[in-house]
Formats: sequence, structure tokens, C-alpha cells
Amino acid sequence: MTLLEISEVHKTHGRGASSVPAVRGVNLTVAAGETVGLVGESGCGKSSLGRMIAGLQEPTSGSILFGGNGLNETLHGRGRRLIQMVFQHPAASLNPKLTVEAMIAEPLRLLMGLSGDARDRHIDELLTGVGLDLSYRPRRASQLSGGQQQRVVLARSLACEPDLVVLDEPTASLDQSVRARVVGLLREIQNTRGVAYLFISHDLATVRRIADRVAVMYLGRIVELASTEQLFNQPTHPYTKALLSAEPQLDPASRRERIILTGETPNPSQLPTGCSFQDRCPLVHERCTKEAPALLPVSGNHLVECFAVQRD
Amino acid sequence: MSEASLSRFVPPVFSEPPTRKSFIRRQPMMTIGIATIVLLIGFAAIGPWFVGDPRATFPGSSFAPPSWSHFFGTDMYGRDVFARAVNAARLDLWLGIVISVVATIIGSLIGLVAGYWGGWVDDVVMRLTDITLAFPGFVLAILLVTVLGGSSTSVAIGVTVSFIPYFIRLTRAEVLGQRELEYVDGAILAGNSKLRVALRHVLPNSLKPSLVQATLVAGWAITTVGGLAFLGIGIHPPTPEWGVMVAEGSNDILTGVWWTALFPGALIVIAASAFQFIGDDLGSKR
Amino acid sequence: MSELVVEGLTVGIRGHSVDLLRDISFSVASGEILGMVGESGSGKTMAALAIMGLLPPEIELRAGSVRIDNLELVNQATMTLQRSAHQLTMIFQQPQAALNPTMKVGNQVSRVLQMHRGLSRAEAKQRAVQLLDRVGIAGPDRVARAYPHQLSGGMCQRVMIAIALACKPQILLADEPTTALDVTIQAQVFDLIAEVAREEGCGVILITHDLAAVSELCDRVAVLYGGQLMESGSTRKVLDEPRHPYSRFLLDAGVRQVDSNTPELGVNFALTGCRFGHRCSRADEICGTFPPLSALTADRGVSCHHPLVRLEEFK
Repeated sequence: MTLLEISEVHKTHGRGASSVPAVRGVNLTVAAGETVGLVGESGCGKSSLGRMIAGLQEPTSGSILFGGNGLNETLHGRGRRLIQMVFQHPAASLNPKLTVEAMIAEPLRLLMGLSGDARDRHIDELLTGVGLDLSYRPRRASQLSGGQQQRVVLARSLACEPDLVVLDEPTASLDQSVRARVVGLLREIQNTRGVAYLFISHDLATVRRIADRVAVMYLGRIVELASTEQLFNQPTHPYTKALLSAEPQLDPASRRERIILTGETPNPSQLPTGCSFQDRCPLVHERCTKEAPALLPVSGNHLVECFAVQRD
Repeated sequence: MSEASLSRFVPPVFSEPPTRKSFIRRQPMMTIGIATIVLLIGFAAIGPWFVGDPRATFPGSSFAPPSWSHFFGTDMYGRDVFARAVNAARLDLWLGIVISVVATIIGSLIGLVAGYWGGWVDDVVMRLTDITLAFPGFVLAILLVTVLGGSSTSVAIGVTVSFIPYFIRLTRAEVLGQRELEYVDGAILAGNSKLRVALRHVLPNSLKPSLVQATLVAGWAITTVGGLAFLGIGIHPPTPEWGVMVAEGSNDILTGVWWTALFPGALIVIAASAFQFIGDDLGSKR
Repeated sequence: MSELVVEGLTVGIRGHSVDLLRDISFSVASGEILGMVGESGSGKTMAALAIMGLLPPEIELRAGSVRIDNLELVNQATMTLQRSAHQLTMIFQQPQAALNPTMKVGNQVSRVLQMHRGLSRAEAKQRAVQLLDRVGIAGPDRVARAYPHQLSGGMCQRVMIAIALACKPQILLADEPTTALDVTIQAQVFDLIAEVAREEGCGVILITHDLAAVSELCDRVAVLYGGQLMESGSTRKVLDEPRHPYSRFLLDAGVRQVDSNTPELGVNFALTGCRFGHRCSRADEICGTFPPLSALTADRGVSCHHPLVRLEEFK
């Protein structure tokens, strides 16, 4: 069942001459209970897309449907509970002046209408659910480690029983061993509650461990979309290939041939006509400088936006 | 291996307590400031019951130098300068504190609105603030008090208004930084209305610079009130007020009577410095 | 052949008996890249600052020797460290913050050349452009005239490396040089660091939390936890056959599924014994005493009373 349906979403920051396009025509669906990974480098628009889905930003154009209804309709009043978001910096995501219980109590009261004992019981359950014992209730964010803070953030976003959680780099600021635990916790939560995740990250290894499908973004567009297995085993877009090859590997045997991209991501406010990857692409040919490719299937559910690999 | 045997060689984190320098040694200026203010407030609170009537005159003993019967001497009318100074402390400290508290509350709320809502509200508020800040605070206070008329209430209002823009700017700047932090988005996701996000989440986290400023302003308010009174604006004789007393006594210095102006003047300096010490230490703390 | 040798480096907070770094010993030869890995709080950055003589005032150097080509840098009487930029330089995690925002990057490079190499203004300017070219900056003339804010993070890190190279250092410390960069840019910077080590013949200490990066880039690795050097040796040996339970734990964290409910235990600096003792499944009474770094082989040390030894060796 399709939960979230994004079609032709654009987002431009700023106005007039200084405007910068962050998202340029994205189409994506997320099914109930599914995890979609969204990978890309800084400035590719993945966070903007996440914030639009969570209703924290309005798209410039295009439509975002949730359960078949418009996003604003869905998130009105207590509907806010349906989509939650977790941010990169757990320390900044928690109000430094509030205790853990006060923070978790907020959505329970405001979105679930719970009070008194029922609310108290819920707080206990949520804390236990994210692997924190009840002694954490009166603590403040500054008294917790990064991993514990992220657990509190998770408990708060799960408090209102959302259908979709947008996770924006939830493990980026955590240590490796803590990261592994948080990923484990996210999977556990998904198994018991059936919540869908949009997992935004630049960390390919983590995405690989948690996502069912992965979308690769480059300069505001999805350039490749496939099941996790397909994407990591048969990366097709030249950018995806370069991205995967650049990821350091612990095991020398699993190393890919390094494709070093020349140059850096171009300035999004001055994009060339045609394909936005043309300046760095090893497969560039004449057509790429004249028209922009579209995201089309190369096989089954494997979509790629590149003339060089699309068979027409 | 069992839990018990493990705990034997696992002491808790930092079993040795961090060496604790006393508060006094860590923040000597703050300690001096707080002690002085407490002392002054103590004087102002209970002093008036012990000293005589500040308006009572002692016939035949005008311009008596400081002595055991008149600690600070007497003035031209034979009034006890100590009794007047202690009574004035009540008015001056009260004005200093009230002005700073009211200016903080009003300024922070306006700053919050401007910073959090932004847009045209912000533009209007900031332009008005800029206009007020174009006047030196003291000149603005003179203008306002002249318009409002001479009473301690109008002085309080005038001086308060002249300090409000500082708090607006400070709070707005802090709110602009805070509202970009992720906990604000987190609060929206938790179902808070915009007003609740502003008041419950953003405001408490944006107050620190204003609170530091508030202690400084309390000191400045005392000098401003005194300065206005010295110029004959606002509070008039024979009200016991430090500035009024300095103004009255300043004429006597030429004739060698130094005590009528010196003691109230020194008290203004002491009170203002004490607040300044506290504010400086608060501000330099990380 | 120049070599950095660090022995028995011990660092603590003034007025505390607790050590933040305890008895750290390692060495780096010229042209070699040593990876220093550890999680946050492991002391890896502290070790770098100690070697650079850049410890904050509240932290003191308690013991240890830092030598370059047998030249002692630590004044044993005052326990202070004197070094020249020619011996040791460092590049940082946030290149944009490490550069002076009000100065053109070309001038920032040429200033270093004037100061440390005694070049004239004109020579330094010319050499600066060459150095920018050397670190793989396209259009070095144009970039030399740019301010840091006009450059991307990857570009700034290249400029930082150019500044470091301007001193012709014997040892280059790189503190998480790519954490703030994207993965494709990270790959470029790693390649540059490897090239610098190879061609300029300087020893590199790469401080990182990323074992995979170490695996790709470093010749040898030192694993830190809680200010204790757990294990050191050639990268392949340590990563393929870790001998310290902590190294094993760290490697597993990236690969194996970890039970999400095992508690996260922070570093316990008060432990008089092994700093990993309270988390270690092999710990017993003897782990209450500090395990010295004992050499397993010539190039392999482990600080553990119960090192993991392969079964065949055990028999």
C-alpha cells in the first residue's frame, strides 16, 4: 500500500537572481512499513526533501500526497502525529531546558490527548522501548551521551505512533559502535510497529544495512532508484558507481575499482543545460550537454537517469 | 565472571572528586558585587526604621561634619545626611531593579516576536529600535521624563523605555540563532502551536544574554536616575534620593563642606559598580 | 630516513591524578602513514595535540618522550614540548575554520614560505602557486587570489595541505581531515595524502574514527581507547587478526549485527587497570592492573592481559 507519493516536487530557496534550486523535480513513493534510503552528498537536496515531507517546509511546486490526501490536510491538528522526523544532531534536537519526560510528554499530550497516569505509563513504555531505563526520566539532554540522546529523540518521535518517520542522518554524529546499536534499534521498532522510514544519509554502509530500496540524489534530482540489493550489486548510474567506489572498505576483497570523480559538485545556481552530472561524468557524450535525461527503468524496478545506460 | 568480582576493580567514573575551588576564589568580582548589593538592600529594607526622619531638621546644627551622632554629617537645613542616604537607598535600588526587570520582560518579549515571526513585524520593530537607539540613552530618558512630568513613576517609565531597545536587540539576535536549531523543529513535530514553540521552547533558551544585560542595566538605571535628578529632571527635592542629594550638596563643596555630596555620590558609584561586577562576571562565564 | 618516536606519553588534567593518555608509545617512519583510530573520547586528538605541543593550559604533559631523528622535543625538566613547523605540522577537521577568513589563500601559503623558508616576497608568491598546483588545485593562479569562503571544503583542505607542505615537515598530523567532506571528495583528499607521503617522504599520522579509511590508506595502525594504546601493528595484521578484545569489538561494530540493548558504556578514566576492563568479556582480577604495551612481534604490540590469540598458536 502506497503511503507517501511525491510527484514532480521542486524546491527553490531564495528569490530572484540569488535563488538556489535545492530539489528539482523528484518523484518517489514510500509504501507502508517500508524503508527507503535516500543517499547523496551535501547540498544534493536530500534534507530539503525530507523537511518537505515532514511538513516543515512547503514545496515550491509539485505535490506530496500522504495516504491519498494532500500533506497540509493530513498534518492539520492532531494529524501532525502521522509523520515525524529525526535530525542529525541529537544534542540540538532536544530542548536543553527540558527533562526527558517533559519532552516525551509533549507529543503524548498535544497529539494523543493523553494525561495523568496513562501518559506516565506511555512514557515508561517508550523509554523501555528504546532501551533506556526509567532513571533517565528526570535527566536533561546535557546529561546524556550522544547515543542516549538519539534514543530519547526516537522515543519522542514514536510517542505519537507515526506511520512514517523521516530520519535525516540519524547516525552521522554517533560513534561506530553506537551507530550499529541505533540501526539495530530502528529495525526492531519497525518490526514491532510497522512504521515506514525515509532514511536520509550519506553513509552508504548504514543505508545498505537498513533500507529496502535506495534512491541516489545528485543536485536535486534522483539519478538512480533501485532495491538495495540491485543498487549495491549493480550500480548503473556513473555517479552511483563513483559514490560506491569512493566509500572506504574495511575488507580489501570487497573493494571496488576506484573511480575518482574529477572536480567538485557544480554550483546549483548555475547548472549547465542538459545533464547536471556532465562536467564530472566519465561517460559524457554530446547528447548529455543538450538535453536532460529522465528517470527511466533499465530493468524492472531499477530506474536510472542517464542516456549512456538507457536503451531506447 | 560474576558481577560482584567485576565491581571490585571497577571504581565509578571519576572516583576522585574534581578539586573544587570555592565560589569566592573562582569569581571574586561576582562575590563582591553580590555581597555589596545584599548589604545595600539590607540597609534599604531595615535601615529607615533605625535612622531618624530624613526630613527632620536639627535646628542649629546645619553643616555639622560627620560625627557619632550624624555619621554622614548634616546638610544646609540641618538634616541628617545618613538618614537621608539610607532612605534614598530604598528608592534608588527599587528604581534600579524595577526598571531593569520591566525593561527585560518587555524587551525580551518584543525581541522574541520580532526574531521568531520575522517578516514585516521584524522590520517594523527593528526600525523603531534603531530610531530609539540613535538617541543616547540618557538624552532619550531626559526627553521622556520631561514629557511625562516629574514624579518617580514617570522617571521609572522614562528610564525603562530608554533601556528596552537593548533587550529587544539582544533577545532577537539570540532567537534568530535558536530558531534554526533542530529542537525547534522537534517542538513543531511534537504538536506545539507556533505560540507555544515561541514561549515554551525558544524564549527560555534565548534569555541568557538578556539576564546578563539586566544586571548591568540595574546599575546603569541607578546612575541614570541619579543623573536626571542631579539635572533637576524627574525627582525633586526634598525627596531623599542620591542624585537629588548630590545636586543639593554640590553647591556646598566650594565652602569646604564635602560630606553632603560625597556620601550619596559614593553610594551611587558603589551600587552601580556592584551590579556591573555581577554582570561582567556573568557575561564572561562560558 | 627521519622517524618520529613517541614513548610513554602520559597526559592528565592539572590537579587530577587521572590520566587522559597513559603510556602511549608508537613510531612513524618517513613515507609511512600511521592510522590512529578510536571512538570519541579515546584520546586520539589529545595525543596529536600533545605531540604538537598544543595542549590546552589545563592539561599537562606528565611523562614521555617525543623524538624526531633521535632529537628529543620534550624538555624533561619542565615537561614542555618545543617543535618547529619544519619537524611537525598539522591539518584539522574543519579546514574552513583553520584558514584565516580575511586573507587570500595564496597569501596564507606564501606567508608560511616567507616565515619558515626565508623566501623573498616574490619568490614565496610564485612558490605558493606551485604548491597549490602540487596539491591538485585546478587553476592555482585563480584560487591563490580567492578567499577561503569562496572555496569548497575539499578545496580548503587542499590549501591546508599546501600550507603544511610549505613547511617541508618531517611529520604531518592529519586530524580527521575528511570528516567534514563528502565521500567522493574524501577519496580525492586521501589520494593526495598518500601521494604526499610517498613523494615528499614525510611521515603521516592520520587520526580518524573510520576503520575502513585506515584499511585503505594506512600502512600501520594504532588503536586507542580511553587514552590507552590498545594495539598497534601493520594495518592488515591488526584488522585481520586483532589481538586486543577492544579491537575485535570495534571491528565487529561495523560488520556484525549488534544487540541494540547492550548498554553503551562510556570511557571510564578512573580505572587504574585496563580502560576496557569494565566492558570486556575476558576481564578478570588481573585486569585491575594496567597492562603494559607488550610486543607480540617486532612490529606488533598489544596492551592486554588476555590477548586474543589464534587457536593454532594457542595449541
